[in-house]
Amino acid sequence: MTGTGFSLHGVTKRYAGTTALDDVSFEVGPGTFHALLGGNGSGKSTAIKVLAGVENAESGEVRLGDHRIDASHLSPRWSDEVGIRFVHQDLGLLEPLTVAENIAMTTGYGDRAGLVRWREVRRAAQVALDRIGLDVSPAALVAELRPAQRTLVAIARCLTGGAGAASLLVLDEPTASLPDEEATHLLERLQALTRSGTTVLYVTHRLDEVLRAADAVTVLRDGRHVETRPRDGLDHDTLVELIVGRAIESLYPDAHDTAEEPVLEVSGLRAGPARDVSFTVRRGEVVGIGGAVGSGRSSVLRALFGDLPAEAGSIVVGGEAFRPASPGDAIEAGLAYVPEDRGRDAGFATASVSLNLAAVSSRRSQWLSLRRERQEARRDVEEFGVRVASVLAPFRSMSGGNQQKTVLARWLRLDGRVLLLDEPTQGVDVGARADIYRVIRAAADEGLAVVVVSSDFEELAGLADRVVVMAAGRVVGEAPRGVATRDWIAQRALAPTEAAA
Amino acid sequence: MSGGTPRVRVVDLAERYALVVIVVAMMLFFTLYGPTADVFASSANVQSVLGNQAVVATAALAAMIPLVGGQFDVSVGAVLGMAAIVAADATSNGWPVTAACVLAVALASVVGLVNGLLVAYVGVNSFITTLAAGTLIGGLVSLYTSNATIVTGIPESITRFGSAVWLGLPAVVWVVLLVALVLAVVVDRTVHGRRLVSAGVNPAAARLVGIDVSRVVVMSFVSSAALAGVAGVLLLARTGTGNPQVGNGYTLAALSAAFLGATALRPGQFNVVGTLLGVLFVAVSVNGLTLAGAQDWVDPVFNGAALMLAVAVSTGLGRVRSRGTPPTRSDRSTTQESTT
Repeated sequence: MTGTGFSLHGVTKRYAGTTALDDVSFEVGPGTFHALLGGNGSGKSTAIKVLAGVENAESGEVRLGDHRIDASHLSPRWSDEVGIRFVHQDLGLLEPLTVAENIAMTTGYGDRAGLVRWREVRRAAQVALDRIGLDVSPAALVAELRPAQRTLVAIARCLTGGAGAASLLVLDEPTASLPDEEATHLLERLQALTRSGTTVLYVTHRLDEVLRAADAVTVLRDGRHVETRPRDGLDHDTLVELIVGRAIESLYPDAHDTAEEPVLEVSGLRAGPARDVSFTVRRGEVVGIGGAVGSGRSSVLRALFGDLPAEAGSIVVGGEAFRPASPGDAIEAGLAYVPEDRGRDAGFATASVSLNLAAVSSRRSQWLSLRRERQEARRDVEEFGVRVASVLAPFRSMSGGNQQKTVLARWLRLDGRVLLLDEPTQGVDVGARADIYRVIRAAADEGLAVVVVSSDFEELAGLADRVVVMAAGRVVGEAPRGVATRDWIAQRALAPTEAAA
Repeated sequence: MSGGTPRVRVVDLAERYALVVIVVAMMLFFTLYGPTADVFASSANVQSVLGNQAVVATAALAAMIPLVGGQFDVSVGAVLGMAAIVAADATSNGWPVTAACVLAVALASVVGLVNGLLVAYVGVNSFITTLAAGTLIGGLVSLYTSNATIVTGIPESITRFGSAVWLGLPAVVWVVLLVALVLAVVVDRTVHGRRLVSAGVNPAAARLVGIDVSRVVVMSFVSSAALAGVAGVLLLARTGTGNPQVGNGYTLAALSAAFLGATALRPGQFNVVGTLLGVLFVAVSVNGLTLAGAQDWVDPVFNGAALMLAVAVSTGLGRVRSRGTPPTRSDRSTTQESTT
């Protein structure tokens, strides 16, 4: 496979009222691993849609190898024929089917007569897998694969299928929902792919991996091109400044030492895969829980919130024994929970921002005042810096960061005692991320005991006052801020552990 | 996104009030159109149309309750028919009218309770559960009555109520308006209604903000069935007979009104006023067409077409709306550890 460079020249795209891309030009060299960065609304998604031919630009030109085409004439078919391949965040894999069956969705089933030739299907799948060096059996079920492997199957599938030979691979936030070690694995494979000649353009919010893996970086902001340059010489702060447009003095707010009384005491907790988990959170303290997928960290939060039965152990909240039978019990006891999957477990997607904000606070009264609800919503939107057209706009019309601020604001309306957060910044851009860290720290300063579960160990090291590390269901380490660096956490979280009893 | 650009706002307004405009336009048309002009706007016709629609309207409001909570109830018609038979049979056996009506509504509620428990705690799909319940009830009603219409012994007081006129409107219409008002207040202005709406939009999220979703689902089926029971009593009052074969016919009319209602005023959401508008839309059209000479086929054809159109229009307009707004990151996301 020969990689082909590509470039945009003066591409402009307007949506009703807003300019999504304003005279954007940049170039991606052949066989490079190129990161496309920008906050929400920066235009990076639009740029990809234009490239895919899904959205037509008003003006500009796209060049890909020897092909030149007016950006207003792109079509999905052209994009397919010249060999541009896309893998979206939603991979589009059918989990109950095998790897081979998934790959056959684009490569075909081996027979013109409409019959499936299974031997041919498996052979073609093996070729596709070999090409990206993925060592899984074509007969394996996708549901049984690790997250990074699933992404790689999707990549193998799109590189193999299609009309023309693949020349450019475009990935939209491939690592957004992957834990650290999975992301690292995926990035290594992608780097190998570029070394064999494929050009890779990828969109991400995770700057640390850009600095680790990308060859070059393009930054968009408010629909304009800001910078395209090689990764060498870039550091985290420079990238943030390019993306946000101003220096963020520090991504993480200052912490204060706390010598307050414990609010949440967990001992010997057993729930789901979690075994014998003990830790304490004090008033005003942010405690991080780090660990790999399946380490039991999310189960701990769910058990504390009454969403998963605790099989053994004790929980003490504010000095009193606590055994929640349902999330309702936990809320009554002053606990709040922001789940990992906003879309599935937290947001009322089609309902208004106002309803979403009032989702918990409306428990307090029998009668609702819609007027007061809207007033309170406007106040929260202002206070938490939620960017939305109106408090009556549907929840799903907002970006990930604004959705997350809304979910946080929902809980902070209550005078709670414990705030449980699962992956609070997943899929959130760097600007909104700083806002969310500030909100979390402010909540702790108000007297809440905060527990943050994250796969982003950098985040835990920066945000938490103390970090508890879990592996295979058990606590394998605990250290205060300063000691618990990214590497310290990673070493313990990812070290091979003997199988839990 | 509300607000937004002028084009989006126009689409938004068109979507909200299209059904209102169509209903008014049809009324005007049949009032002015030669063959129907004499009769359509006459007080007698208006009274008869509104009176006859009271049963459908109550059934439509009944069907709407589980729909708000994200569940289907296709047993409303059967429950309605059963309640009418129970009330007719009890009164003809000498029960006082009030006691007979209470019995009818209570038995209807029991059906709702069974539906709700099966859906909420056993996890059976609501469509299947209520389809089965409706079929079963239809069968039991036909067993009990031997498919004979109950015509004798029904006290006059109940039929007198059915044809009574209060303040220029049939008494049964006042009952519908009262039910609609109570339902609108409960759904929009009380925490109970909010729980139902939340469970309908996202049951997983509703659970995690402390809502007992199973209980909300059970209550929605019980209220729906009780209201279907009221509709059954209204049917008895209007017709004065207990016909074991008419019940199921109300299910589709009720559902299509509720779905039509979800395209109006608050597009995408089932709502009380929209549902009543949906009933009115079908009623006015069928009445006008019948007066113009169309035959019996008009009713089912129109109901079926209205349901299809309602769903198609709301889907289409939804698509226009999402095209009019700048793209945002999709809210799809994959999960990792949620099952651990």
